[in-house]
Amino acid sequence: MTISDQELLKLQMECTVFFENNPYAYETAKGLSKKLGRGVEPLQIVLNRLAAISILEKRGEGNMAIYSYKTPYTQSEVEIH
Amino acid sequence: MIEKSWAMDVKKTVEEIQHTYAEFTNLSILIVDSEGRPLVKPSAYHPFFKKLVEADGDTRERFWQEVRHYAGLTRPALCDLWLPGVKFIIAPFQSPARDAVYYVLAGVLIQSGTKDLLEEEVAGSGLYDEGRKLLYDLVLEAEELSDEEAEVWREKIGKLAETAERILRSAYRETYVRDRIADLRGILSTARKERISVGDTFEQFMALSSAADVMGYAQKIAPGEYRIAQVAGEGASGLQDAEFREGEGFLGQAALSDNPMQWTDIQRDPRAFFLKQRGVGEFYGLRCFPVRVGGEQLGILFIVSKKKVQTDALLREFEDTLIVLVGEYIASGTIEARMERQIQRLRPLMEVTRFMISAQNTQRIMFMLVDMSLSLVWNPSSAIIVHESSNGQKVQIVSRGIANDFAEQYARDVAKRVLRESPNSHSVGFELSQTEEGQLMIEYPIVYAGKTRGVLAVSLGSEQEAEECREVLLALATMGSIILQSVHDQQQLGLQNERFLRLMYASAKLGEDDQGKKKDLSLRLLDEYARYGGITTEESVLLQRATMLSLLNDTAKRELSEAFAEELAVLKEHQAMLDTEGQTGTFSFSRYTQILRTVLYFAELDEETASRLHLTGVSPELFNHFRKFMAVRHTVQSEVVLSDGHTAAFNPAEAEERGIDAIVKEFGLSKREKEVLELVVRASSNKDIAAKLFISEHTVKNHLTNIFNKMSVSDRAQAIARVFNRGIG
Repeated sequence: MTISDQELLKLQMECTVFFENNPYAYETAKGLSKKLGRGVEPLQIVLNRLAAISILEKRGEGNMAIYSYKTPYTQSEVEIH
Repeated sequence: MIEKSWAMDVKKTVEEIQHTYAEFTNLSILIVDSEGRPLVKPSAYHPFFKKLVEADGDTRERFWQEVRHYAGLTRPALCDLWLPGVKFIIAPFQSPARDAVYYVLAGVLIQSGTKDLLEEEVAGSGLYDEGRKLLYDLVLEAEELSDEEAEVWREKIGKLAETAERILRSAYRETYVRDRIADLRGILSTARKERISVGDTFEQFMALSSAADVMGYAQKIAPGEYRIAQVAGEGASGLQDAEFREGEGFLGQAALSDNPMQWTDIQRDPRAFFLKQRGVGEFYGLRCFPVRVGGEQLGILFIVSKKKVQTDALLREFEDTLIVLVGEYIASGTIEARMERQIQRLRPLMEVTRFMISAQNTQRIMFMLVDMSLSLVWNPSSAIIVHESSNGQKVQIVSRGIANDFAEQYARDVAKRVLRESPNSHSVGFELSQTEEGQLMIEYPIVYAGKTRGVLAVSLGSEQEAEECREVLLALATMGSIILQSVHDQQQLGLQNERFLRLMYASAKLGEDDQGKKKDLSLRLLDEYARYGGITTEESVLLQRATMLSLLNDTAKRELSEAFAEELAVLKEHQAMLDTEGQTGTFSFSRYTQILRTVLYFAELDEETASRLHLTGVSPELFNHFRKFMAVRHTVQSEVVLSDGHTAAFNPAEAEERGIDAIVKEFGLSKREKEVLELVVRASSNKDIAAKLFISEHTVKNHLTNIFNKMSVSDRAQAIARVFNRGIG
């Protein structure tokens, strides 16, 4: 059964929230699948999408690839001239 | 096909008229199509054509060959057939579909004074039997006519041809439209049940139309750029996915117009090259229809006619209406697909709301807004959120995919353009803007507490992409605004409650001099312990509020119970912990309660150092860590007093940092050894250090051995002492 785009997007958001809540987590798709209770295959797609748009950092390839949160650029003290 | 669909009464009408004319002119009349086939039964008044129709095939063919010699006639004419002097009137008229010529044939007319001669000629001619007999009978039965009479009959038969053309044409139109409407009804009925593909609608339209050989739809993919998304027709597959720009070729010119356009006789026109070279080949005409929704052009429908076809104006209009309907169908499909894509994104967005609501922190919400906006657009590249700081003097930025200096420059631009110049514009819409680098940004204001507080901006590839993403991003920005409003409200309420609590605490201290001093000391200890790194700022702030509450009477506490429920729960648990004092057994208390108990215990002591080695219910690690903090604090304060002669603000964290820097320099510690030492000084166990630095415990031990050797100390206690000595030295 193929997973719909909508379900993938939902999963993508769930993964984003997971990594935002756990900025120091280093996870493989399989490891995350156990934590979130989701299938490895759709997770793989979603994690690669998130890596492609620079929300996650990917180390390694294939099943052993490790994903971690890439903190966005943050500047809290920009002076207004 | 057309003849089959004629209604019987139409045939009868034509037959009646034919019969009337035959009776009036005393001629035999036959109406035939372009192949010589009778359209209606020949008139029975004069037997010639009746006999001809019933005659053998050869005779009929021979007669028809004679008629064919006159193909190309455009007006009724008196023509010699079979023999000179045997005359027929041949009156051509347009077929109902205007694709052939039909004829009214009427005869025989014999010029006055020639009948005898003709009788002899026919009798002596070498015609085959049946033909000769027919012709002979014809001549015998024919009346001689003067030239004037023959001219009158020619005109009359011409009128008959015109009348027959009008009747057949009208019937054809009626039948054509009725059949097409029936087809259309069938198509619509199917479409109501299931959406038909655009390709299928093209096939169906081409089956209905006589002038559509290739049909296609060019979709707008970017401003000024089109791609052929769907095409049908023989040899047209090469057009699939072909791209063109506005102004390029016929299609490009049609893209510039808001109205349908048509070109004919364009075989040699260079603008036809685009279609020709992709398999369409030579063609005669092209019709283009814009497909629009509101003011937005979605694409162009085009129809290629390979050859010239005479089409009735009314039917042409009917076809054009059908094409517009096909265009509407495509437009509705596009809008439906667009809506579906937006809904697909809106639904997961609703799920995200739950997580965002739980993130009661402005920066976390900003992270989410940036990350979610990148997930929600089709081709994400960068996103930034600019949010004004609480005092309104600075702005905060969170961004992805944007160079840092550009992000800051953009933030200043937003601050000037949106936050300063139009802070009270409560627009919930979006704005497209282009950066100096040519990047297209779609911007949404973050509006709450009656003012524009920030902007969420996402970079997009094209205006079309902006069109498709705008609603879902608007939903995200609106959701972000609402959640930020909630955080803002809670912060405001928290500040008010905090001010009220401080007032009540100050008032309570007046009557509790000794207790007041001890509580003040507790507050200072909590603040310093946070800066030392023993607890987080949030923990320190909550415990300071709990400490202030502990000085208030029960009535005051009840008044504040709603605003400080968490702090009062800690106090309640703290009381329970005190009640277990001296009892044996296993007790489990929250970290907050354990810290509060420890801090209040030390603040109660007359001595600066605790005599007890543990407190019931407090973990030994926490207790020892705090005791060490107190020891260091005491040492530093004493040193400061001695050296400066007045009480300076003590900062153990700074002392620790200075000490480590000095040790690193003095003993040549590596970067990793420095990191290990920093954690040792903060009372981390080997296991904690291994976890924090992502190394094994074994490696931690190796690093520690090296550090101790370099510093010439034997254990971590000595190492810590040396760090603080250097820090305050």
